[in-house]
Amino acid sequence: MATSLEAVPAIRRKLEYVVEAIDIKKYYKMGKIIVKALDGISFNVKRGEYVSIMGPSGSGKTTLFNMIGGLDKPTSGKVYIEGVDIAMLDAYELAWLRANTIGYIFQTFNLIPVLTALENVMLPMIFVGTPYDQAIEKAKKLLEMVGLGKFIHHKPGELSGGQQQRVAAARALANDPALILADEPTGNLDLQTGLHLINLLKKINTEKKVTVVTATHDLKMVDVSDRIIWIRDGRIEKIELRREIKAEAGEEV
Amino acid sequence: MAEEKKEKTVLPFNEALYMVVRSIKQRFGRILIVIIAITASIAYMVSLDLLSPILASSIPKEGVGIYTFLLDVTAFIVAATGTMNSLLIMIAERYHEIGTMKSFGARDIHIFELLVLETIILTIIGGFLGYIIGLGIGYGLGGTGDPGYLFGKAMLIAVIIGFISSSYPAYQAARMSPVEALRYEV
Ligand SMILES: Nc1ncnc2c1ncn2[C@@H]1O[C@H](COP(=O)(O)OP(=O)(O)OP(=O)(O)O)[C@@H](O)[C@H]1O
Ligand SMILES: [Mg+2]
Repeated sequence: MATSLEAVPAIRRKLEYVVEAIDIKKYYKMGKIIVKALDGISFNVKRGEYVSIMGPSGSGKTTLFNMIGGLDKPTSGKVYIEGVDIAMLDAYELAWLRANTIGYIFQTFNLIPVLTALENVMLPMIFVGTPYDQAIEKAKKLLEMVGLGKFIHHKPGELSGGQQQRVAAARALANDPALILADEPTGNLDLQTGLHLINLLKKINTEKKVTVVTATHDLKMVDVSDRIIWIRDGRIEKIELRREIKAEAGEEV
Repeated sequence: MAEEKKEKTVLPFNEALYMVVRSIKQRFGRILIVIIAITASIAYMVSLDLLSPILASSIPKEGVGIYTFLLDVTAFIVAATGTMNSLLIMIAERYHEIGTMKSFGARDIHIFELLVLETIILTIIGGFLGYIIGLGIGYGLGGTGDPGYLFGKAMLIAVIIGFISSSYPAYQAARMSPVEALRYEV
């Protein structure tokens, strides 16, 4: 029997932070060469914050996304999600964390192709044992919220990229996560559709009070982010608040 | 609240079955090859079972049992290896999907269940078709035997083949970390 996360106070930390990353390193061995995808990254994300991780291709954004999402393990360093050291979790607890605490959005949408939009959104709820009727109701509401009320019975293949990504956003919200993690959510969308999605993420952030962390090189994301963490070669280059960037650009705050 | 009791992610059987049936329906073209492999082998087995008394008329009576058994073993091996081969490809094509499910709470066992269940349904379909075809051929050529017994045997072997041939590819896919599975380019 897996122990409840609540039952392990020893590994709980300050709950003002949804994410705490402490000196994360991720090294890959490629034959004789060691690739330092992440080389000592530390930062915190406060509850309700919208944080963007920006950096050029190959800077380590996806690797970092995987570490703070509990999808992969760092070579060294610690990741706390909601105060829980995720390295301490067993397979059951990790699956529970992925299902409940984090909602993921991927660049390639990653919807299950044989399931309808509605069923895709229901899937994370099924995994946590939500009764069927309740799951349907909630999935419908979420799809309406992302503007897809008319497309609930469409399969991913019958939806545009922008629509698929909105289904993915609804799915990410299925179990009321504390944190939405999005890796290049606009990477496969055109400018206008991308803007739509960014606004949707912002709306989720402000209205549903969900913390959002995106890894992206889409500069459109700057406008909605509270903070931008710039990384390069696996290290933090600088952390900027949006006001600072706006000030630099000579805009009104 | 029953929160403490619900800390394990689950995949109820009816949900798994629903997903599997949807998957089979929609990927029928690609999946047909698995069914054909089983159909052919079971047809081969059933027809030879019916015909073995005739085919083995030149060998001593005690030999007939052994002869039939050896034919069954061949049919079994052909079906199992053929099915596993198609499954390795079919499952590799779904790594992305598997990674996605895992990132939304699916555990290894759920992935394993889904893949094995899907295969067993396919081999049951193939086993049934093979049984009908094998019966037609066997009786058509003047063979004799108990159709009820052969039905049971055909279905049992189909299920066993489904389980054995899917276990390894499903196990491999199930234990991948979400990142490994998601990284996989098809
Ligand atoms: N599994 C792996 N094995 C070896 N090297 C890897 C692996 N994953 C990532 N890397 C390397 O780590 C570095 C960071 O990769 P990552 O995918 O995190 O970059 P990124 O910032 O997301 O880039 P992009 O904007 O192109 O998506 C790269 O040099 C990459 O080649
Ligand atoms: Mg990336």
